[in-house]
Amino acid sequence: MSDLKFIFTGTPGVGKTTAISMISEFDPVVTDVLTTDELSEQKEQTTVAMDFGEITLDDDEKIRLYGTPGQRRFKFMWEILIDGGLGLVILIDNSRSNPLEDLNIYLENFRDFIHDAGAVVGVTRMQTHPDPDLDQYYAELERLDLDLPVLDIDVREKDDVIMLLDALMAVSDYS
Amino acid sequence: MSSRLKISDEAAQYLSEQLNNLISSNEGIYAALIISIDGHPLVKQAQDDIHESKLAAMMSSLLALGESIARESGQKLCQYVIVDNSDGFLVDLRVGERMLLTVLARKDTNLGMLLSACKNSAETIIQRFKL
Repeated sequence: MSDLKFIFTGTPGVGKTTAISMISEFDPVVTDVLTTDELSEQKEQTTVAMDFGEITLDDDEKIRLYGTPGQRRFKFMWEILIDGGLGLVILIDNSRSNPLEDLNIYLENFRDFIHDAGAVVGVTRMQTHPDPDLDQYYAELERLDLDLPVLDIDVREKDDVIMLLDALMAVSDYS
Repeated sequence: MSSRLKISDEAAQYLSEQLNNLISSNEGIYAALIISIDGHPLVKQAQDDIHESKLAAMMSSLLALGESIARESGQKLCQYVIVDNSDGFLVDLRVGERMLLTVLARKDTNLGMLLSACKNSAETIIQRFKL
C-alpha cells in the first residue's frame, strides 16, 4: 500500500491552509508567521514553509496533503514539496485583480509537474466575484492546450475540498 | 511594497551597526542579515556576495519549520536553528516577534562563541526596540 501525495498551491490568502485543515484527520502542521508586507491588509498570518495534513480513503489508502506558501519568493519550497507528488490542486482567488493571470503564473511554474502528474483548479470567492466565470477559465486552459477540471469551491466547506480531491484523483495518475 | 514592515533610516543604521559589531566580534562570521519573520531581507552586512532575497525566504521557512517541529514535540517557541555544513555554519535566530537574525560563519569558528555572539546581538536589538 503506497501513500498518495497531493499538493495544494495558489495565490496568497486563497485558503490553502484552510482547505487542508477542513479535511485533515489531525490538526495539520502549519508554518504560519506574522505577515509584515502588503498582504497584511488581507490577513495577519501567512505560510512560509508548508502545511501538512492527511486523509484516509475508504480503502484505507492515505493521502498526504501538502500546502505550499503562496508568494513567489518561496518558490524553492514549491520545488521541494512537489517531489513525489501525484497531483496538484491550484486554488485561485477570484476577488483578486487578475485571476486568469494568477492562474497562468501557477500553470507556468508547475508546468512540468502538471504535465507529468495532473492538476485541478479550484476557484474561490466566485459568489461575490463572479467574473471571470468558469467558461472563461476553461477558455484560458484551452488556449494553453490544457484539459483540467475547474471547480467553483468554498475552501471552508469540507465537501467542496473533497470534491476537488475526487476530481484530482480522476485526472492524476492514480485511478 | 508600501506597507511592508517599515524600519526608519535611523533604525536601519542602528541595525547595520549591530551587524557590523557582530561581524567584528567574531572573525569567523562573514555575513549577517536582519530579515522579517515572513522572509523579506531588511538589513545586510556581508563580506561576500549574498543573494539576500532567496536566503531571507529560506531562513524564514527554516525557523517556521523549527517552530512546527517544536510544537509537534510538545515543546514551545523555537529560538534558533543551526545548520552545520561541511564548510561552515548558518545560524537562524529569532529577534522578537517580527524579525530574524541570520549569520553565516566559516567552519573554523567556535560554535559556542558564535551562538553566544548571535544571542547577545539579538538581545541588544530586542532591548533597543523593545520587541
